[in-house]
Amino acid sequence: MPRLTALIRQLHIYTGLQALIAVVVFGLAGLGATWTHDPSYELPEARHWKLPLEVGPDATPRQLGDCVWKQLAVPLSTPPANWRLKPNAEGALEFKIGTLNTETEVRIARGAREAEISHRRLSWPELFVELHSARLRPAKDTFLPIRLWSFYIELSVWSLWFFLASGLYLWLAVKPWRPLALWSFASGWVACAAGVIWMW
Amino acid sequence: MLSLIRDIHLALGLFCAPLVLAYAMDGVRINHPRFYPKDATKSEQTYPVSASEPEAIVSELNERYGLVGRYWPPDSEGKFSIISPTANRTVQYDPATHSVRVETERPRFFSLATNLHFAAGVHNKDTAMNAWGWLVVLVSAAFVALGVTGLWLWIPRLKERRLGLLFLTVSVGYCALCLAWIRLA
Repeated sequence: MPRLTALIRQLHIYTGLQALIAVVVFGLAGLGATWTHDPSYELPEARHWKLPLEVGPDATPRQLGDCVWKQLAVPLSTPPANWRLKPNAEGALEFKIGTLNTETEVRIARGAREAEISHRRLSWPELFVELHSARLRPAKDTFLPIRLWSFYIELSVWSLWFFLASGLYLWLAVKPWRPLALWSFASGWVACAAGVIWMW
Repeated sequence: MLSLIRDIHLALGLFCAPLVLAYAMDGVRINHPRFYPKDATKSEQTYPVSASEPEAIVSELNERYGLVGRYWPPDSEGKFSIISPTANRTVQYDPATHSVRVETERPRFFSLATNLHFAAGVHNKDTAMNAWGWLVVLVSAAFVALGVTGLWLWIPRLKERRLGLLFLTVSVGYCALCLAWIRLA
């Protein structure tokens, strides 16, 4: 086997070993996302309570969101993003504070002096979905292990690019005309194209 | 046995290539949005409807005009949405004319990768989205299988064993530490 091919195979193997956990998490996340989309999927039981608000009656959605976040002090959480803090058609503010461990739903009716809180732990499928989508955040906003985990996910995403390139290279360099390979490659593209066209 | 595992790894890897491409593109975009342009085309159309409530309007748009996707409830302006991987539709109802104005945003290449990444579920009202959901299930299971078969293929390889074991130990230890720390927080 030519030296370049042997080298690329080695790198493909080492990258695979480094990204093994991430690849498995990505797969479990896809299965988890499918499972949790089922309307009959039972979420873990939530705890409900009412939280008196420590802001004035004229507080903006941003102020309300920040106030509730500070009062709840959910571990690992960050303040809700601006896009989450938009009142609905009834003027109520409904948003979620999500972490890798828990989900907290907050509802503040228009003019209300308290927030309705629903807080629960994530199930295992939901956890894998959240783990796979951990994104890089500024250090000051982020709990250290989440930041470390998100570095690993970032590295593994770049590894996916390398798997694509090296995997295709290894196929074409070693056995390009092998029927199994040709059929697998073609069927993947046909399935994707058919799916996109059907949904278009 | 080893050649069978290698065949499985090869077949699954090649089959998953297009979705791996979409996931890799969107994975990079999530942390580096400036790398990609937001590319989508917009259009607008008006449809007469007999329903007046948002969810009923969405059902009617689906059945009469083929506008399929997931229902998104109204915002503070009263606009609601029909979201699918290939079209994001914002709907505004006009009670005076019993019609809806639908603004459709269709993704191009990069935005399509994003939308396909988020498309999942096999219990949608639309059969096409369910079919895509099943493809996602297949590819997700394939990811797990690729990891397992890859590990199996590495084990007998003496040349890559020492350094490979180092990579594996460091990454598994790093992940276990992060996950235990997160889960116990």
